[in-house]
Amino acid sequence: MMQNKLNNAVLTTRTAFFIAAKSIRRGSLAVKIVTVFILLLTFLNLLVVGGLLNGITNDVGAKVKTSLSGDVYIKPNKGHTYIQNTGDILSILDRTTGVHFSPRLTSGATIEYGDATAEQKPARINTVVAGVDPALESQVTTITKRVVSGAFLGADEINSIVLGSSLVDGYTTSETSNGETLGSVVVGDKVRIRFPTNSSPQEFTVVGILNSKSAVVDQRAFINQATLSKLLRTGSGDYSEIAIVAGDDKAASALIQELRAAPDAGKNNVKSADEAIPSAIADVQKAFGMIGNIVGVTALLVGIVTIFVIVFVSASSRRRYLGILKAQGISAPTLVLSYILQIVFYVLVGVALGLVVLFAILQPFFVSHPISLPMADGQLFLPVQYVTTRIVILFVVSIISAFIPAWLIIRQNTLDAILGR
Amino acid sequence: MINIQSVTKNFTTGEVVTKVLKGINFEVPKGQFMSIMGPSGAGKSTLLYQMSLLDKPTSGSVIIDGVDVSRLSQSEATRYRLKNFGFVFQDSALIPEFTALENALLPSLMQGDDYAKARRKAIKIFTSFGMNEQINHLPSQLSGGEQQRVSVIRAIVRKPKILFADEPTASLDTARSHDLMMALLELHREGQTIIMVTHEEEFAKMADRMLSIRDGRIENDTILKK
Repeated sequence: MMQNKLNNAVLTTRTAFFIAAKSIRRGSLAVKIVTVFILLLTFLNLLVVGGLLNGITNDVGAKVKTSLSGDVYIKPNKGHTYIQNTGDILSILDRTTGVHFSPRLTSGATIEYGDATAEQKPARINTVVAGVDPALESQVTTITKRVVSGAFLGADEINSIVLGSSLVDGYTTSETSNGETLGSVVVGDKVRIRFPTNSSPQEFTVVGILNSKSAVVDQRAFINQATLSKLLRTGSGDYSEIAIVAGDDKAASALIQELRAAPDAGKNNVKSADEAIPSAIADVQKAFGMIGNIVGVTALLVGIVTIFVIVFVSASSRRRYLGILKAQGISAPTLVLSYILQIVFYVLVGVALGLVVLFAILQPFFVSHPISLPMADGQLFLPVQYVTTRIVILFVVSIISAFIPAWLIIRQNTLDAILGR
Repeated sequence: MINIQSVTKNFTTGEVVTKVLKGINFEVPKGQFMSIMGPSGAGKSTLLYQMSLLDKPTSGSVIIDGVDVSRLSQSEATRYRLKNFGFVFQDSALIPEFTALENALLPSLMQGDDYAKARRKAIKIFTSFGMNEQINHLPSQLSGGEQQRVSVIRAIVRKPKILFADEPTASLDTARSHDLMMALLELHREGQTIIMVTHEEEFAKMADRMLSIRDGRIENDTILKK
């Protein structure tokens, strides 16, 4: 019984393969081209828009990682101004091989630019001032290399400041949260900073303007950590955040586990690079992902309908031949399978062409011409799993959309098909 | 042996019931060439469809070699047809993308022959039909007569128990109709059971036996050759 079923399955598949192969080889060239072209477009639609949005969100995440958080990012938990138990944390970091870290001190502050006159007040902006050690920072993030005007802070520059590009006019279209800037500040200009803990304003000389394309970083101002510590009157070991580079994901996970197990770890928030992405950016990433999926599903629907119509028209126009074949003893599943095999072949060709277009044309193009956005550079980001999942989806959906019309026509009464009733 | 017992067939359109076959009984012994004659609408093709399992009778039975095949499900009927029946229709209905040879060997593939064996069997019959030159021609490259001969080859390549022919000469001119009938007679001489529906008396009389149908009933059952 089982052997019979197996034999039938083999015969069905073999005969269906024969019918499909001949139909593909000698079928209408125009139909073949249209079918492959539609599947190619469906495949590209499934991947390109989503891939570009992925590329943007991926770059946003990457920029947060390379300009702010590193692989591991420690912040104090709510209720604490500074990271707790920094001694143990720094000792763990010091003894772990391959780890570089940059402890930072941050404070909210008001920056002023320009003198008050009878006509206008000085430009004023509330932002975060970060105190960094330039030498340590250069080992952890790329911000020291992202200066678009002037230079980054030197180790001994006490009254120098680097402004994020969002704080000034002319460098980026991204803005601070309230849309205000200090105006057209240039390197060499003086700005005044007023800290909540120190009411007298301190004057700093702008030595550089930084554009990291990470909104959080570009809304900050940077001064030397020693200067900020002195102004805030903080003690040794008072840090607002620590950015850490661990080397790779595995090392980062191990380090996170160790840091979370450290004494008083509950008072600190130890985050991975992904967790460090600010929630607003994470929301944008989710929205982009959703848009990519919507575009993909729409493309898939168009593809499904087109395949359905092609197979339906093809099977309808051959209803009589199909009836004759059934009369001769060719089973309905064999004929349905022959249609499915034809579509599988066209999907294979469409996907193969699509992969060539994606990886030989579009991806190199976007590498050399990325879509430049204020927060990221958009390239095609196509991880293997993302591509293979969509290929599998396209195959499954195409098979279903070929099966339904083929089955609808082929299951009809044999005699009615032969007589055209 | 085919045994047709009290076969009726009704068609219902809305509330109108048309009785096409009104209780048909006869037997066809193995190896007989039987023609079914009758005017248009007499029910001859309908009778052929009941016998060949392309349709189910409203009542009555079709018994072949002791088995009531009229009770088979659609998929069982398809398998039964594959193993036991060959068909020649009014027009050849060859698959346009397949060559003459491919059209002919397809049922053999479905029956389990490998491609080489199916090809060998088909070529042998093409040769006996004098159509060796045309095996690689597409249907569009064949004349109407040649197409119909290919459909006969397709029907007999698996050596079916019964060959059903439904008006096989209807789309052919006289000369080609004669050629086709000669081919069928040759098959019959080799022992093939043939049941042919035709409205042309000249061809009907070439068979061993002629069944005349009128208004869904057998009008005459004439033995022409013994």
